[in-house]
Amino acid sequence: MELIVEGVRQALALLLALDRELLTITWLSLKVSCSATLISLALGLPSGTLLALSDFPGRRLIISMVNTGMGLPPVVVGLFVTIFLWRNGPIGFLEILYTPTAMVLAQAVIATPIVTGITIASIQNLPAKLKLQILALGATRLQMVWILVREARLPLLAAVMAGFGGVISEVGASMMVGGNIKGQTRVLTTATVMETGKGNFDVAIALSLVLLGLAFGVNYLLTVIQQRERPR
Amino acid sequence: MTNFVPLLEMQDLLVRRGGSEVLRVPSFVLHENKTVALIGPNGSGKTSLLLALARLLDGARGLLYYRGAPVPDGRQVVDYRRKLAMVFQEPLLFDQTVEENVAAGLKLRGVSSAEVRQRVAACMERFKIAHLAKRSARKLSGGEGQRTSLARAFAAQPEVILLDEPFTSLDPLARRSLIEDFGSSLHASGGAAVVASHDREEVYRLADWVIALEAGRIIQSGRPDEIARQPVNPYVAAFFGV
Amino acid sequence: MLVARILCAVLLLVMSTGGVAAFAAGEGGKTVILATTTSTQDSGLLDLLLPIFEKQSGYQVKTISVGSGQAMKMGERGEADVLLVHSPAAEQKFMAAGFGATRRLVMHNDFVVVGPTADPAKIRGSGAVEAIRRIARSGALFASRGDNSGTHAKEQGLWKAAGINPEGQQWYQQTGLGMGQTLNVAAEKKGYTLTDRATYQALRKNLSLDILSEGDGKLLNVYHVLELNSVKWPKVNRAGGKAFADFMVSKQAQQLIGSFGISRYGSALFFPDAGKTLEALGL
Repeated sequence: MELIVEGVRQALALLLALDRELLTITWLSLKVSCSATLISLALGLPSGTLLALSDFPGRRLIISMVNTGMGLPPVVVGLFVTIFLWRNGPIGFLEILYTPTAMVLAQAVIATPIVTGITIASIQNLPAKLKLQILALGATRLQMVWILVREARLPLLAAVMAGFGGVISEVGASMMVGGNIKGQTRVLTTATVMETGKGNFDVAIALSLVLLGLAFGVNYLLTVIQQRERPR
Repeated sequence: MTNFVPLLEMQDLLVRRGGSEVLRVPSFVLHENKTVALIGPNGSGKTSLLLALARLLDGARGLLYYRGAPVPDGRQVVDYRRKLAMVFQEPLLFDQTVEENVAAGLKLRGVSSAEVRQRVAACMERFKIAHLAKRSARKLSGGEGQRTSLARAFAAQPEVILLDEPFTSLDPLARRSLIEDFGSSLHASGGAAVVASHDREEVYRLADWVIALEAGRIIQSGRPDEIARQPVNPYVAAFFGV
Repeated sequence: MLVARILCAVLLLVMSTGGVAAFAAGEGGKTVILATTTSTQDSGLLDLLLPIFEKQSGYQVKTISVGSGQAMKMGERGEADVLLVHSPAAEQKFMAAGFGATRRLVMHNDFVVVGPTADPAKIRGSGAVEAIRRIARSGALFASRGDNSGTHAKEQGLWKAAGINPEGQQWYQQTGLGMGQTLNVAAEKKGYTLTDRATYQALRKNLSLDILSEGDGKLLNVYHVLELNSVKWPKVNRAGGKAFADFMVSKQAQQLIGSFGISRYGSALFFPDAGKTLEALGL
């Protein structure tokens, strides 16, 4: 018990001193996860909307794949991305293994099914006749899609939060494709595992607190936006 | 003075679902300034016919003419649809203010903001919802919601308004006043309308012509007083209270 | 409200463009991938040596710390440029199979057998093989790395020498974790384990484990630096790997190795051996 208290105390000391390495690690965590979330939005929102609204052979198969992808273990993603990025692997010529780019790639692979899946559910949750109403007011297909996405903006914000939350807290894939290299690919999650393994519990707790703070902060911001528009 | 060329004409409408015929209408005509009422039990095909007129029905085959010219498929169908507006049984409003909802149809057509403001104000006046302009659509009563939906349809100044039992879910008082306001707005704008209805009063107040449907087929067609005098089946008889 | 939205958007934009800029900075021939063991990394020695090497040579080192087994597998596949490992038997096989270009002795330290102060298996002071024999006999818990690391290989050698097969026994627990975490497991469960002295020294303050067997010749832990055979894998950074290997056996590095840890732990964690033969070490 004293260990935890001692750990928290030392953690606060490190945080208040604005330790340089801590700041570097935190900034990298934010950059990587935000970039990955943005990519997953750019891919997931349009494809989710398309899957929700259109009808083509194989649609149900693809949707079930998306739903499976939502529960994909990040460490499995990490393993396969690593294999692909190996020098002698299929896309090894990119030479991005053990760089933040590889981490963004792996995290984007993890987050995209989540965003897509929630988008599909959000759009499908709109009133069934709404699509007809919009078209009956003289909308083009593009206008109709835009309005539906706008109407579903609250659950879609939840998709953003889910995507971001999934990757900021992810450690397995980040470790594998990033290598936890000091000053280059070390992020909050991988650093926490390492410090714990070394027995530096105070540092590990400090990192955990920062990670929690970060995750909470971003989600709080998004929640404020979402809940302001909630039907009262 | 009636135009020789009908505003809308549909021929040989055939709708199949899962291998069986759901709706078969050899001919349907709508003239300018006229209102046609569709009556019939649930599932008789009223909604399908309305959607087919808006080219929104999957699996519908048939010829559709607007002022004598065939209505295209594909992308240009939007130009045709912009001559219509449709109102459903539920208001189906957007998650915005009343004002923004009423403006929706105009915004879709790319009308300038100044004109939008003017037309929206006029429409809200007409339907007595001007005092609700800034209210969120989520906070409206059933009657207020349908008024907004109708105002939204009218604001776009369509040549044809299609209505699928728009007054059914309202209480009698709200219904009566809304029918009044709708009727006078329609008369003032000179538009044509097709109204699916379950209510005798609506039909007497609004319709120039009545079409009775049953199981996807037209079983009777004529002026309201004609049909009331000689109903072809028990439903129609009950509808007109004879 | 609008302010919050704009703030979000700006933040996101800054972060992603900042991110992209960082990613765009290329690497290529200036990177050296060093595959080494977790014990080397955890001891902190590399944190001392690498910045010096990077500054002098201009290379950027990416240290991937995994077990010796995985490090050598990476070498076999050409996914690393140079190896720093401590698993002699496996290394010899590696060289014999032609995967390595050169193999040079860098340093050594030793392993120790640690356990609870109470020492239920009564191994205090015994030789290495006798110690683990007693552990097996008493059925006391033994935490094994179980991960093909150099430590694991050394441990397996001891079992073999003792003529015991601990596989499947209830008291034999294979963690599959790094040395630090395995020590934690042993400490928590009041069991025994084999560890390199350096990691033990580094973590000592948090563990309630004592050194119970040390000094046996069989516990010597020898580190070599291996350059890879780039004929097989042309993408290997030959020059970079060579530069690193040369650095590790250079006078400068050897001196730093020899003095590492003295101020912090009171004794050196590693003993520099570049240029010596294994016989000179007593093997």
